[in-house]
Amino acid sequence: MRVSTQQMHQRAVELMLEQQTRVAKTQQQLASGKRFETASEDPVAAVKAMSLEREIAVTKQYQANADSVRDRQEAEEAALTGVTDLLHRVRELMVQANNDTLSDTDRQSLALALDQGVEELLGLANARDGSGEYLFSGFQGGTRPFSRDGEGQFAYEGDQGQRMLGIGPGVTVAMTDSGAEVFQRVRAGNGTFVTAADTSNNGSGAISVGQATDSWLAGSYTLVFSQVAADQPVTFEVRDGAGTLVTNGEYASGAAIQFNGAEISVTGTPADGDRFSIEPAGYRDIFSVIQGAAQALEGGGDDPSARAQLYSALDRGLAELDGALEHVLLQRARVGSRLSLIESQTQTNGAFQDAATETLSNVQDLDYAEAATRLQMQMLGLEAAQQSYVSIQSLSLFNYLR
Amino acid sequence: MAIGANLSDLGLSGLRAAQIGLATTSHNIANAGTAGYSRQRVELATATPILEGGSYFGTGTRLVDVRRSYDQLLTRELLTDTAAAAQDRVQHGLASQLDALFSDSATGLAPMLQGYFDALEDAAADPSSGTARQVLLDQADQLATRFRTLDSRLQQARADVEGNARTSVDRINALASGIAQLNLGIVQAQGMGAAPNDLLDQRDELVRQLAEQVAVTTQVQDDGALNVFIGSGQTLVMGAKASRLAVVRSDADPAATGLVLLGSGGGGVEVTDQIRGGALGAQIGFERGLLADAERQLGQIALGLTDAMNAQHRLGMDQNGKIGGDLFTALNDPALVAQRAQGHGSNTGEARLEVTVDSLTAFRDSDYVLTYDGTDYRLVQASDSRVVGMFADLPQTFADEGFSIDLAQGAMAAGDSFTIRPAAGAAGAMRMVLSDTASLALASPVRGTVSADNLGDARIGSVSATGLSGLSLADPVTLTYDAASGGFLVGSPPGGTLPYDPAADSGSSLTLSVTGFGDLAFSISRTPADGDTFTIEANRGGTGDNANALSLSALQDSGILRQGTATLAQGYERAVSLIASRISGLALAADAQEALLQRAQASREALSGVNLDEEAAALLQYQQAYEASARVIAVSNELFQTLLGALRG
Repeated sequence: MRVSTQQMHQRAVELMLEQQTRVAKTQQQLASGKRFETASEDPVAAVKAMSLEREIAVTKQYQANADSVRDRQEAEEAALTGVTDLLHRVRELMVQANNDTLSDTDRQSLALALDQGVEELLGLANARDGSGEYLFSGFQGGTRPFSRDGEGQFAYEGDQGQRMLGIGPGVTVAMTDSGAEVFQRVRAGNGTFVTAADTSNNGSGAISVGQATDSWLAGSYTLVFSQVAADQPVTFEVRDGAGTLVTNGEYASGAAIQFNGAEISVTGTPADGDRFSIEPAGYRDIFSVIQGAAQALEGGGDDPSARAQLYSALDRGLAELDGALEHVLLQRARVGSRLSLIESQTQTNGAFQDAATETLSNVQDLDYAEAATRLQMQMLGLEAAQQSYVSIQSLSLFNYLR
Repeated sequence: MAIGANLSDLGLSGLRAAQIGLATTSHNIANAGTAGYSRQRVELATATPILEGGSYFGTGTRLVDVRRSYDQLLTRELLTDTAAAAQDRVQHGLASQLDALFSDSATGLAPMLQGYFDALEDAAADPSSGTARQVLLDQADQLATRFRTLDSRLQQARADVEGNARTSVDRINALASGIAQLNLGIVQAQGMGAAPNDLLDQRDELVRQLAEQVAVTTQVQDDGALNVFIGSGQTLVMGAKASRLAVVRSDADPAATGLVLLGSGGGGVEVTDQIRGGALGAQIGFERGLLADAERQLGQIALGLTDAMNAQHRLGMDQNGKIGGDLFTALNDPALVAQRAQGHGSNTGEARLEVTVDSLTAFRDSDYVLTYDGTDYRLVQASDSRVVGMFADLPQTFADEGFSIDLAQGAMAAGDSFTIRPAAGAAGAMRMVLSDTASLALASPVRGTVSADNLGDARIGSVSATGLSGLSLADPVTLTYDAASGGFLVGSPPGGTLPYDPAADSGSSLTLSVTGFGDLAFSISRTPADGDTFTIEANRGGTGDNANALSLSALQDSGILRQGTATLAQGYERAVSLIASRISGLALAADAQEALLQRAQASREALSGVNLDEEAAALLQYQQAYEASARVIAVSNELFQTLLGALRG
């Protein structure tokens, strides 16, 4: 086998270049800390790293979303706490008002306090978040949700929209609650039906809010009292919307009147022809509940019929206020469970992020100890190649032809 | 009596042989570093003996030939390996540009895509924030810009391919005419009876350099001329005549580089498909392979993003209460539609075609070729030659391929062909087309409202709209529950009834079609009381609504590409993976070919190379032979003197 002189030189140079390339590669790895610079060096790992980086970025975004939802929900919780405290105070005032010994002045001042409560509640319902968006106006973030119109009625200017946000893969959580949901979904009366004394009543009969059983047959009913003569017993009859008699009997103050799954009672002395209505309960807003009680108090209650009106109204008001409290507490419970969901999802996200980051590191980060050893070996190889080249190239028969 | 030949003549023949040996060895030493040089050696034979007295007497030595150490098989092997190694090396170099371009976070698509979706999420968290909206617009713009940048880099790579091909072709033409000239010289020299070793070496070296540019096959003629063929037997050099290669636009693909072999008569024939090996084969292979694949995949991702985002954005409502428009350049923009069908250069008809994209999820990773034989059109998938369909008329819709073809103008003549690339130009044309933040349609165009007077606890939810005409919902749609008929009476417009059974239908999706607006979808849950009403109305003032932003953002996780199996990001990752695997395959092939080439070079060098130690030994040998021959002449002289002395004496 002949080795040509030119090839010998060329091969030695090529070998040295090869070794140098390897050394440079390892050096680059050591400098960057990465196992590969371009995807083609390890396509599988590079694409895996890309998808891990994407998953980490998505999770980061989920965490940012969770933070946004948390901020907003905490603001809502603060407002709802304010509402609960306020409703408790209003309830105390209403219990105080339900007292025979109160004078007109007392009632006026209580009414004033209740009005104050309405204003305070309006303030809470029109609360804004850190960026100036109204908390309770649904999607109409820039619109002040609640206001009192010229006739003292409460108008809701927002809508029923609820903003959702993803805080984890497939986990979506509500970020807002509309004012309609929070403040306007209080069931009237006892939650099933509403009782009311007719304004033209003359007697002192006051109607309770009553209670419903499961067999409540929804409909409008009228309770009418009649007394043929002063010495005759007072009787009552209940008729439904079509005028059909549902039940009747002799009246006794405070005795239960039961019909179609409803149980109500009337106290005091109703006059002949006094009427009370029993209607299916719709929804009321909390403002109207308090304002209704305040207006009833302002209406006074010195004569028996007015007092009966007042007590009917206060009784209903208290029941509705309890309903409102329950509703707001339910809302707070919802916020609370959302916050705990966010908390647990944040932990899940964090755990995933840690795991993904570790996997990413395994996939793309350099094993320094291995790389350093490799560099030593390669440098040794390069030195050997250089030294052997220098020694071999000096060997020539011509050296001896002198 | 005379003994055989003259002693001094014998000495002289030895002296001459040694001189020739010394000269040849010196020639070898001088050319030790000459590329393509084949070691030469002197072949001697005994001179014709003379018969005298019944015995043959030697008459010295004579020169038979100066031969080069050469093996045709080894040379041919070297040619093959040179062309293959050059192709792999050059192609790997070209492909590596794409590797860095696609996978680097500074130039790739992945970070921009992520940034865009992150901005979308931020806008969803705070849809009325002008800042969040501005960031989203900026990110969308940057994403579109990144598509265009990537595309322009790919176009630049195409332009480079053409430039490199021209350089290669110039070199090939120069080498071909060099070989033709050498052929002329060699035929003349050969005619005089001896092999012109150095001319042959020069020609072999030119052929080897040619193989670095393009794969060649050779054939030696009896007169010594070497014919050179490229591709599948196309003649580049025939005797003393060389053909010329020229760079043109490819007939089948006007965007790509083509090669034409010009005969001496002037007529050209396109040989692009036949060209293999060498730097030129690498350029052509790269352009038609990896570069075309990368362009197609990038185009499909651009189309996927455009289609999904535009369609969803058009289902939303912007801050001005208007239904959203396109977010990116329209999917079937007139410029794109025309770009997708490229007529072949040899077409004789005047037809101009338009290709409309119908469904991204049906897309396949291939180009198509449409041909017309005068009666029928035939659409063939380029990647596997599958016949998609034969039909007599245009337009045609190919639902399984996701596009339609229409004749925009003129007619195809028999034999005309068009290359159909449904994703062509998409990345390069991609622009964010919204002008201001208020036009971002992040809200749902409709909202549902439960009447405050309702007695039942039923709710309306998941209100959305599809198939929009582009106009807002003009009149609110009211739904009034009618317990007697067991459903909702729908206010006019659109009127009619909608059955609803609280026990069975609670929470399930209901739909209504509103003329002039589109289709409404919503759900009613729980139990309404008789007479309860629900309203679906235009979402005026719904600046805090993020419903459509959420839908846009959800597209991040939907299977948009590759028959619905890959999200946008995954589609891009697969493209990167494809490019990276091919490049890593090319790197391995290049290494392997390089090793083969080195072996072929070593084999050739072992036979033909010059070893200076060997030549030094030969130098000593010939020097000694020269001295010995000179001594023979000296002895002959002494003998003669001896004879003269004896006569004198």
